[in-house]
Amino acid sequence: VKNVLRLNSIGAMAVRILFAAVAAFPIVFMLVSSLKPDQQIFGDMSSVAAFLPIGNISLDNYTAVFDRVPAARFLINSVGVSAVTVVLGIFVNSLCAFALSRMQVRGKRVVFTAILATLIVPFQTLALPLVWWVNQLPYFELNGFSLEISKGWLDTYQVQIIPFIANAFSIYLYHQYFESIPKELDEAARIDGAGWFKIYRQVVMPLAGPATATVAILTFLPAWNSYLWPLMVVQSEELRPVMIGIQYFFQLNVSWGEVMAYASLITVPVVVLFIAFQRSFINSIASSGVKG
Amino acid sequence: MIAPAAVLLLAFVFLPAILGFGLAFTNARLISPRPVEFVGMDNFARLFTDPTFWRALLNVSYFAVVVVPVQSGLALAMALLINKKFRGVNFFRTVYFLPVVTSMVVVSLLWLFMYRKDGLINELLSTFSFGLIQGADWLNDPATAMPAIIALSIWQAAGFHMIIWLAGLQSIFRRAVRGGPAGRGQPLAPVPVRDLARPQAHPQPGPGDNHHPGPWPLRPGQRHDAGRPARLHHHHHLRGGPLRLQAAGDLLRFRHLARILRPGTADLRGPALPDPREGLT
Repeated sequence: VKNVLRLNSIGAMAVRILFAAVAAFPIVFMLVSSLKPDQQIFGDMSSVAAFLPIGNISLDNYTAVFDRVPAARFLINSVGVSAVTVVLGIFVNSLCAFALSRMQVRGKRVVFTAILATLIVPFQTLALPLVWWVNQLPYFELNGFSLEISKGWLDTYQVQIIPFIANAFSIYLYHQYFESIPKELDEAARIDGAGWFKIYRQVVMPLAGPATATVAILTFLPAWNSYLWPLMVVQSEELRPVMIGIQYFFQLNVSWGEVMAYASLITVPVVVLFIAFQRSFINSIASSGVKG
Repeated sequence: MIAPAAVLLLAFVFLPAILGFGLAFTNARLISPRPVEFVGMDNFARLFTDPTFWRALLNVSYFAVVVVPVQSGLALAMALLINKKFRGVNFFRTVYFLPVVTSMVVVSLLWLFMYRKDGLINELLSTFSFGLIQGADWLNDPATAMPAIIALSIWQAAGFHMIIWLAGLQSIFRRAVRGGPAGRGQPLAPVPVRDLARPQAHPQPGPGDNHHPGPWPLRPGQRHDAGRPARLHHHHHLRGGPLRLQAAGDLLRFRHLARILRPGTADLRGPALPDPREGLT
């Protein structure tokens, strides 16, 4: 029996390694190729050398990337847009969930159901009317001392941020979490004279750490990966996020080494974040059950 | 306090949805000097007489019919492979999950490159078959384009579904220890009977196990996993909640899982059981 078990576990390990190889090979190929000149990428493809950083290894592709596209600018834009979306998203959605969980609001169930109903609408169906609509919105700009009002949000930072702050799934996650925090706690705080906002800030939110981590991750990933929306609404180069930068590499002559370098450049930050916050990442996916 | 979120959702979800529906009956264009006119069902008539639309519908059905079972099956296999603790389990979890955190833009580009006639896939196929297999021009051949896209899609999403399976698997084991169904309605899944018959595999929670994760005291009757909804117990909350539509998929998966894990076929999981008190790491 022992031998059978051992054989079993060796077999299981072999299958695990096979799956891991399939999952990892394109990413390893990308990282390794980003260090090689184009000719060598194609030359190495017919052997395991495609996955090994051997031969003519350099960071030339990376320097070429920064010459070809304003990569630093794109990275700053994406970091900024994602960070603001995450921070505002945490605040707005938790506040809404707090009210739905704790306060006496008329028609609370209807509101909650309506919020959850938005989950079934895919963004692609909203995108076109949304473009038209954000172009009708007023845009305030402080120019020196005079406030200038113009029409249309196209080609701004806020058009990349504001439509994605409120999120039904974040509200749902916070709501379920708040429901599990005993109401006696905020009743005690209320007796001590705390107002609703104080209860929210000092009692409920400090206890909701795991929910906040989940919401942060589930907001960050689509914000960082957004492609369709900025493609539709952002024209100026200095406002573009990282994913749009890919297009630059398919104009004129394509250098696959540079493509791989840029792809690595915009993937590695997320992978590093993932490895650093692995537990939260996996728990958020587990609690989401929807494709982010 | 609801107002900020409500206003944003109204403005950026409800309004465009209604707008989109309304615009479907007009001849509106995104940028056009012509005034918008009501055209009735014209757009729909055009859509239904367009062969491209029917072809697209067929394609997406084909895609869904293949992807759903194959992807769920592979994801379950992956989840079972890393369900129990062993040396290096974290390494495998990380690697299986890597494609999920990779942007779809990067994934498509990467596979576009690998699927070329002289790309990595064909070169490797040729090498490993000693030149016997001459690969196809995957994405340009109508016969292989869809399977190629399906493979790409499964490669990217399987890790995601693996996590959902894993959460289901581990919550079943957790339930097996704590005993009894949680929440309303029928039990979420039958507890694996074989495991209950082996108490040494699942130490019953004793007084020492009463450390609960939250900083607040347990109320009478409260289970000590109650404070962690954002972790792996979400489906308890989904039950009977208003999130039926979204939860339906999950529940179906769990039902399916439950069927697989009935005593007769429980050997799928291999001999050792994970420590049920451990969460996912």
